[in-house]
Amino acid sequence: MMDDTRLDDAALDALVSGAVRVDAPEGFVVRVGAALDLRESSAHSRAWVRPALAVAAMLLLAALWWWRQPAPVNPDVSREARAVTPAPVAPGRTSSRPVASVFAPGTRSATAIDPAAIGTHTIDVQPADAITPLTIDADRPDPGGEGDH
Amino acid sequence: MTDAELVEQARRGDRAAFDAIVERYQHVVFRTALAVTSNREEAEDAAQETFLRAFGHIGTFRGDSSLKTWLLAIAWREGISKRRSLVNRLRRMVSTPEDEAFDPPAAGRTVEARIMDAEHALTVRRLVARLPQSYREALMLAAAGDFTFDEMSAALGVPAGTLKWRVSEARRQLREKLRALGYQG
Repeated sequence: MMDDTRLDDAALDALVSGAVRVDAPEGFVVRVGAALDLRESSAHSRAWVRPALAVAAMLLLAALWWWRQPAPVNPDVSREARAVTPAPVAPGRTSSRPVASVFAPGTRSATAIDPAAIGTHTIDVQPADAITPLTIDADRPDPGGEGDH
Repeated sequence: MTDAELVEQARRGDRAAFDAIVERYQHVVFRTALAVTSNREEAEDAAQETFLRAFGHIGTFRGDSSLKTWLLAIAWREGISKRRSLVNRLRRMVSTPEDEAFDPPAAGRTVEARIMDAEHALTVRRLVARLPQSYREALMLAAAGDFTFDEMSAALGVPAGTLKWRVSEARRQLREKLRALGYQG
């Protein structure tokens, strides 16, 4: 080793300086210039990206707005839907006030129903005397033996 | 041309003026990055990134500090960023930065003297690399001789007295290690 070296501050600094005072590599300026060119050109070629993203975002917002709009309602259907009788009071309830208050905005009295808006059709009803009354023959034995169970 | 004139022209988009700034401060910025990273490859990347960042933000340079100090501050941050990156940490695990190829002092030296210089420098670099980080950074910046303590203090936000103490402590530890290896003092 350097046994003739005196390690005072100056000698030490000279040693350290010699070790750490390293210059930038050759061609560093060219390298930085090329990197700058590359960055500028890529920034230029990407110039369309931002407006395109803005247009896409606006289209997306418009689509969302359109989707959130309520669907157009058929006036006839709407009228029938509003003419719903109030729901019955739940069994065991002593007061119908809460239920009534819930349904109040949507209820209409029977007189408010437009008869013309209600579809009607006839139903054939069998006369009551034509139906054979159900009788039980107590003398007849049980064929399946169901009563044994 | 002064720094202020170059900055003014670069601010107006003059690439030639900015190239002149790079030419003027490339070594200073590189050595600063090397002081932080202790790795030549990382220092090159950090120095390049420093100039790219400086070019992008040249409009924000108000001239409160010198251009050199401004570049020092950017290089310091870039160096720290490179040092902390996961890729570089992994790379350091498989290599020994202090053993990197070293540029021996050239002109006017015999081949034998240059080899000896290179050997001594390598020894010092290894010892410097083993110093505590804050001591090593301060010593390398001070030993490179590019900045005064006041400039370093302004750029790094560390009091000048603290930096001086770190350099002094780094010298003391380094001197002890060199003596242990046979250097006399």
